[in-house]
Amino acid sequence: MLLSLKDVSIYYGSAMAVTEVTLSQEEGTVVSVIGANGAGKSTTLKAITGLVPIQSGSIEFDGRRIDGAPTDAIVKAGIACVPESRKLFPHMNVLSNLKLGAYLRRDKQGIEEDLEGVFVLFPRLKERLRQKAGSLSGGEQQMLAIGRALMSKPRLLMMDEPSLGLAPIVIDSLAENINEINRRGVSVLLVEQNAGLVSRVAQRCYVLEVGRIVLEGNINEMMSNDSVRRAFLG
Amino acid sequence: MDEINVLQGVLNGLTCAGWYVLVAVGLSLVLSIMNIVQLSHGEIYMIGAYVVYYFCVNLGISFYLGFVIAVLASGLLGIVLERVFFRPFRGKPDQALVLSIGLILVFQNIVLAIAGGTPKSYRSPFEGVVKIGSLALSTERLVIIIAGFVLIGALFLFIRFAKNGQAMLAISQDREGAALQGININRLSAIAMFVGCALAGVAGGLVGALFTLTPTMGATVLMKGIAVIILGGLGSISGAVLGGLIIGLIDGLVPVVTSSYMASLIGFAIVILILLFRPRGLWGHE
Ligand SMILES: Nc1ncnc2c1ncn2[C@@H]1O[C@H](COP(=O)(O)OP(=O)(O)O)[C@@H](O)[C@H]1O
Ligand SMILES: [Mg+2]
Repeated sequence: MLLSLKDVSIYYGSAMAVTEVTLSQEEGTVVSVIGANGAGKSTTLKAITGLVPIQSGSIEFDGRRIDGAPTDAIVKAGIACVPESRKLFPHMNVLSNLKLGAYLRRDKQGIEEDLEGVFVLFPRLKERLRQKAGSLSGGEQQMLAIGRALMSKPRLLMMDEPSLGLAPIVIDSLAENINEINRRGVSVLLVEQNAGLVSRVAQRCYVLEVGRIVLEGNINEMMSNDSVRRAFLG
Repeated sequence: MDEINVLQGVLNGLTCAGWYVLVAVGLSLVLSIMNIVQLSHGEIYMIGAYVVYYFCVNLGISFYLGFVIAVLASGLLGIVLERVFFRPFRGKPDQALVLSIGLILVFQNIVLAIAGGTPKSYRSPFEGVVKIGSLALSTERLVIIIAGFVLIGALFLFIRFAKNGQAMLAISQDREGAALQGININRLSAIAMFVGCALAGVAGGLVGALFTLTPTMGATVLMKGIAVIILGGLGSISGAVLGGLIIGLIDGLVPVVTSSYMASLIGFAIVILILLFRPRGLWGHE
């Protein structure tokens, strides 16, 4: 297993956010976690990146415990995250944002190649190279956030509701982008509320409800499940 | 008010600018990286001056050695402050602010206990006067101008081109976003404190030779530093340089026209006036 969470519980103070979540992902796959607002999706991703501590349980990446490790060690191990509000560096230009994605790397040659790889995926970014990140459109900012995450050459790319606020046509290309990233060998953990997007990219899916996993299975089973359809396909 | 006096005022103003900028940039750096208004920054400056005094006068070793030790000691003190006092208060800026006020008293009293309250002074080896036409500037003031602008220039290059400089900018713009790129916030905070406090040590060591030393000498420079970063735009290094130049030139030029007592008053009045039109400061974002 590339990623495996076992009985992970997370509290904010005394308020429970996530309870006994068990989840696993094989290398090379796209796995999705869907759930309504407040279900604990972002909290789960923050726990994986070490931004919030877990109360109990364990998180393993590539067979090694990463819970309790500092975020930079987790990034170094090969996990990158496109956070919910993108968290770009708004007053820095596109190129500087991308280069910061490669902060922990020293292989100049590899960084250049991956930069080209990002431009192949998002030609728009190449046109906007010297533009400040904060002045980009929503869709372009999402491209930059994904591109920046890819610059760390991750084995696992996590995305927190990347479709949020994007027009349907932009979501279409987002789906293609995710499939292309996965074809390049990167595993993807996709947190979403948009089941349409999930059904086009993921092989497995978990449903999170008030901090608990209530359903899991392969994507076809899940998309034909009545309660999932009612909740996430509108 | 003739031309010579105005030019002389500009030179004096540049001296003040170099001095203020060296102090203000540290305040600004610490504010933007650690999100803390470090009010005991003036005491780092004071300690820088006292360390030079100790080596220069008490031990009679050379000024240069004392100066280098003072700068390093200030920087290391910054690292200790970050690790011991400020890191536990990360994300609690109000508490950190109160803590830094407490540190003012702690540092002043430590220096008072060790060195006593009588004013001290030492001389720098930069003697003589540089004449440009009929203008005169003492060498030690010229050194302050040069040191200020060379060091701040170096800091700009570091921020622009060094990986960790860019990481500092990144932290100041989005802390969590920076952490997610693998930037170690603790390490960068320590670097920022070292650099900021070492620059305050440079200012203390050089300016200390111009005035007498007292344990409370940090207060004035802190006021100037805060005015400078508010004027320039909080957390912006370019803003701190611009603000330092403006306030420095005001302090240099206003005494040419009126009395030097008026300089501070007029200076702060101009700052307030500018802020009325640009509440985020001259270089503030958004
Ligand atoms: N920083 C925080 N402090 C306290 N409670 C939080 C914090 N962040 C999230 N929560 C709470 O934790 C729960 C899960 O939130 P979150 O993980 O953001 O859900 P989702 O991403 O699925 O919308 C919610 O009840 C939310 O109110
Ligand atoms: Mg969320």
